[in-house]
Amino acid sequence: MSNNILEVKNLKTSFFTHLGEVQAVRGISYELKKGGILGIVGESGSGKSVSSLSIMRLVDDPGRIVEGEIIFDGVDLVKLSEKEIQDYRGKELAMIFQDPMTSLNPVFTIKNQMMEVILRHMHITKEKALEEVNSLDETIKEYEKTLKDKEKSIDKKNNKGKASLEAKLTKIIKKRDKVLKDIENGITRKYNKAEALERAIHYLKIVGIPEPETRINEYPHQFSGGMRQRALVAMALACEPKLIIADEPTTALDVTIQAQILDLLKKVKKELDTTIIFITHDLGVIAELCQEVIVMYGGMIMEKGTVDDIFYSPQHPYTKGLHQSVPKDVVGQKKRLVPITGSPPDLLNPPKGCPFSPRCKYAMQICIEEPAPLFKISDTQVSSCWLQHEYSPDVEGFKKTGGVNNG
Amino acid sequence: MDKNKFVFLESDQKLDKEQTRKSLTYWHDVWRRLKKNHLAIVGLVCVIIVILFATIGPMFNPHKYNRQFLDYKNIPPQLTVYKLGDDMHVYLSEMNQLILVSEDGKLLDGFSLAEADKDLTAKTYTYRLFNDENVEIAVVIVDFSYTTDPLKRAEGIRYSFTYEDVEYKTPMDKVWNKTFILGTDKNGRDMLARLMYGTGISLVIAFVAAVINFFIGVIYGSISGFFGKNTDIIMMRIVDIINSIPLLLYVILLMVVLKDSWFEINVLNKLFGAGGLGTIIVTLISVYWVGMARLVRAQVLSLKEQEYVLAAKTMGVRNFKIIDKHLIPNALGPIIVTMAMMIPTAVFTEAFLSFIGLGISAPRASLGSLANDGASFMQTYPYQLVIPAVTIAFMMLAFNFLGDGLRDALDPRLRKG
Amino acid sequence: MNRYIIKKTLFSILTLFIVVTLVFFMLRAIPGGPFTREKPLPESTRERLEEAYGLNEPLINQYFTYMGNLLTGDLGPSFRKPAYSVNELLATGIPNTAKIGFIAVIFIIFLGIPLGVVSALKSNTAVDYGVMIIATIGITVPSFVIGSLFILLAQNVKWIPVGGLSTPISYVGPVVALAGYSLAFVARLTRSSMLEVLRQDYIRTARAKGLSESKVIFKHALKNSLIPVITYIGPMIAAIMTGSFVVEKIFYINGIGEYFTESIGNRDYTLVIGVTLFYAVFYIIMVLLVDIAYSVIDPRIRLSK
Repeated sequence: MSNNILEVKNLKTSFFTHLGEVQAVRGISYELKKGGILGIVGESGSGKSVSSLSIMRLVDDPGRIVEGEIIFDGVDLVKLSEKEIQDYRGKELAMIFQDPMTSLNPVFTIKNQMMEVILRHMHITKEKALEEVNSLDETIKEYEKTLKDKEKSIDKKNNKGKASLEAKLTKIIKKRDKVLKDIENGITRKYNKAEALERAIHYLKIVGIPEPETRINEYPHQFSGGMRQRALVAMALACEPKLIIADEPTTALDVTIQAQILDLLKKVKKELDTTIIFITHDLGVIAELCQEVIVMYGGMIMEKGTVDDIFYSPQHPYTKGLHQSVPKDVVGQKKRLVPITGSPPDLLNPPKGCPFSPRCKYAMQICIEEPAPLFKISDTQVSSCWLQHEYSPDVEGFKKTGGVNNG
Repeated sequence: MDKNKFVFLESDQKLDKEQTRKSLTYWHDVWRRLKKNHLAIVGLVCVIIVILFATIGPMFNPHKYNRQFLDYKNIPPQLTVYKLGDDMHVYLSEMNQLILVSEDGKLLDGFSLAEADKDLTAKTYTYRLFNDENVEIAVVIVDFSYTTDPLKRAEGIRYSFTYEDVEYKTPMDKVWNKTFILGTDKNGRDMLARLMYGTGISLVIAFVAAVINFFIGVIYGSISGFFGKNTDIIMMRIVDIINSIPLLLYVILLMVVLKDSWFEINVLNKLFGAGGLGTIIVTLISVYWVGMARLVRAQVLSLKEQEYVLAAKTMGVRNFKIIDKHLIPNALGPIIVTMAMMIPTAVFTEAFLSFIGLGISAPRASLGSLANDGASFMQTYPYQLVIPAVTIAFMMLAFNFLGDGLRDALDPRLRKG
Repeated sequence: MNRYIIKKTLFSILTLFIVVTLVFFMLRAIPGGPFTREKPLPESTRERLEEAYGLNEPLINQYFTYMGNLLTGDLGPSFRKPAYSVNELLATGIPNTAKIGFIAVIFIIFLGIPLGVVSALKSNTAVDYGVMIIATIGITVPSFVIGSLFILLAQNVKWIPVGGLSTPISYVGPVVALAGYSLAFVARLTRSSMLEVLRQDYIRTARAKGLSESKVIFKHALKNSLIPVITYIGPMIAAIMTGSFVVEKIFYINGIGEYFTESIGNRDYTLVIGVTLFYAVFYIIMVLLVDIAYSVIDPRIRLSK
């Protein structure tokens, strides 16, 4: 089929508060190829975090996924029961949260919190299981040999020992047969504690925690912020998930630590070949890390494209506004920053039309009446702005297309 | 698709839904949040009701809290009335007082019972009613032998009335006591009046204790927090030591020590009147100031370090404004909540002390002493315990709801949508 | 850790010393002595008695004698119950007080905490409202009212004894009266603490790991939400013991609470100090235990001290 690891289709998530329905995510669709890094950018309240929490099915009460499909690896996550989605969380899908200071449980050691997820999900490999069967076979042979020896000797004293030995033997054979059958069915046993610990230490090493063998026994408060975020990354990696969602993982950190964590994510991406969704409000981070970018505003997708598309040929007034409000060329000529005036829409009572229209300098009558569809700009880029419509006036810097992309 | 819609709009045509919320002052905001909390408003209303009950209630009650009606001892709120003859209604109290009542439950007069009229062998008492000129106007014979005489026991009643040679065995009706709505106590004092008075005393104790506590706590706590270093260490060690004695034990000891002491007789009684009111207040203060002092100290310490105070200073905000806009809202919240919660605690402790006989002494009353009095007769006169007990529970509930609501409203961190 | 406990213990001993001294002198400040009664004793008898108990000596001498005896564990004779020493009286009283106290504490912990947890997990449902209404009533009705109502019930029902601790059923009244307030408080505290913890980021992290809901709640949330509960439980246990003043009075139980109220009225100095000392020691041990429990459960405390 397709090589998309994730397809989000018309996802709507709302919070049902006593004031009314807050529509945090209002029908977004996108897909993500295996091994890609997708950046989702937007300001606070744009729905970027809620959309990713929806993928994990971690939207807290009173929030609920109202509509849509989230096809992950061929399975619609929205339709799974709570029990089934638990098997996905941590194993297939992992998440790194924004604030490392509060995302670790203060009363358990790092070891405990790392091993927990490994013990929950990890099964040993088939090869290892077969190896264990082999060693069982050897034990069985040994037992059989001793038994034979005993039968040969006519010494009656040993008869008692013989009975217990036989019992042990049948037990081991039974065990071996069961393991073999399980392997045939593709089931292997779960990790034991020693193996889990080894794996935990291994991943702590990968994320660059010094002396992981000793530091793993420490509590979160003994770790610095950067170290905690590394530990959280290690935790997310520990079961080698197919998709990692990083929800502003660097926002709460110092700039130098930020760079380290970004480097770490890049390295992890390269070594483990996972797919990453990176959520941020920082365009710089997007440019650094991502291949594809989604710009969200007011719970909707404004623009979608490759990093080059979004940075060099933005087609949505909001994306342009974002660029203008970020200092870019620090050494180059001085350029005044242009803020986007106004504030994000109230999602309790969102605008009928384009969510950005109240703040948009190109707003037209159509904009406040109807949200724009995603206009196809190029093979890689779509933009949700009426300026792309053939009827709209020409504005410099905005391309027009006739076609509407429905995907 | 209508081509005309693709025209740029003027900026005033845009549907700017940007919310311009009014900026509220701290206290407006607190009040707004408190209003949203229904339970807290119920609490507030109940607290006001309790206060009105204790303050202006006595004005509407014809009886005084210390007036004794010796003819009407232990009269319950509900009377079992017997109709004798054509138009006479009587009620026989548990203390074997026969009372002339009106049909709707007003107490009119007491019958007299002379020693000579008690026939102990036949178990009959002869009650006589005299008018103002001391002329006998009615004679009622009450036969108490129904509980002792094996022949009569089968009837299942406790007594019968004989008036003008007719025996009455069944009561006419149960009517509510119109003269003493909540009945009277063992000395014939009006329960309603005593309840109002007792509630008032309990409130006075609680409020005075809470307010004085507030000042002691603030002074002690701010000195300790502000000077820090050795002053702080010594002052807090003292607090620690007081804190490591069970409070109630300490309260009891102090009550005993203060009782009848020179200090009570010459200072407290002059300030608060006799009956131990001042003693209770002093005791409560001397125990509960510790918590307040700790709290204030913690607040002062944390405020000293707060960056927003520094930020405000850097921006050249005047000291008064810093105190008004930053320190008071941030420190006062927890302090007010503690004060609000101290009131029910004080009521509770006072009730507890009175209950073990160390509180307010008669004729003054508090809710606790009323409950204590009631508890000794609860078998026969359960209303004497139930009434003050329900009042205490009502007050506690009201103050707790209000205190909880205040805590939520005053602490912006606990804001719930 | 050990140093911390030693420091705390030393401070506790100092506190106890101050408490005893304070109580000793406070009691002597009370007008009247153990041998002034409503019917005055003959002057000579009183003097002889006071001499026998050393009450005629200067106060400071009495104090040092008492403290000396105290160091050897001797709390002295009871002034008003001459046949007994204070040690003996305490030995008969403490078991009764401890029995109802212990049962009450067990009830509070094993009923209050689960109720609070259930209430938090089912927050804003009928279960939650039910538990919280009962808890609020528990907080607002004084123990002596609960106790008195129980006695009222017992007087009308044959199978509940009116007082004492003769049958298992007779424990119900004192335990309910004693535990009521704290049980309700613990349930409320656990609930609010649990709700607070469930909102924390690390709970979301735990969920994101794919842990089952029961593991999220009973492993990650419970331990954190117990921290404030434990802080309350230490002083609470002591409060329960002092609560026995009223309960023992209502239910006619021969415990030390009863002795305390009685001995204060009687000016039985040694018995008052004995009981006070017992309470203070108990209280301080409880607070110390809480400190230790606290540092076991919360690693941030352990290392910062």
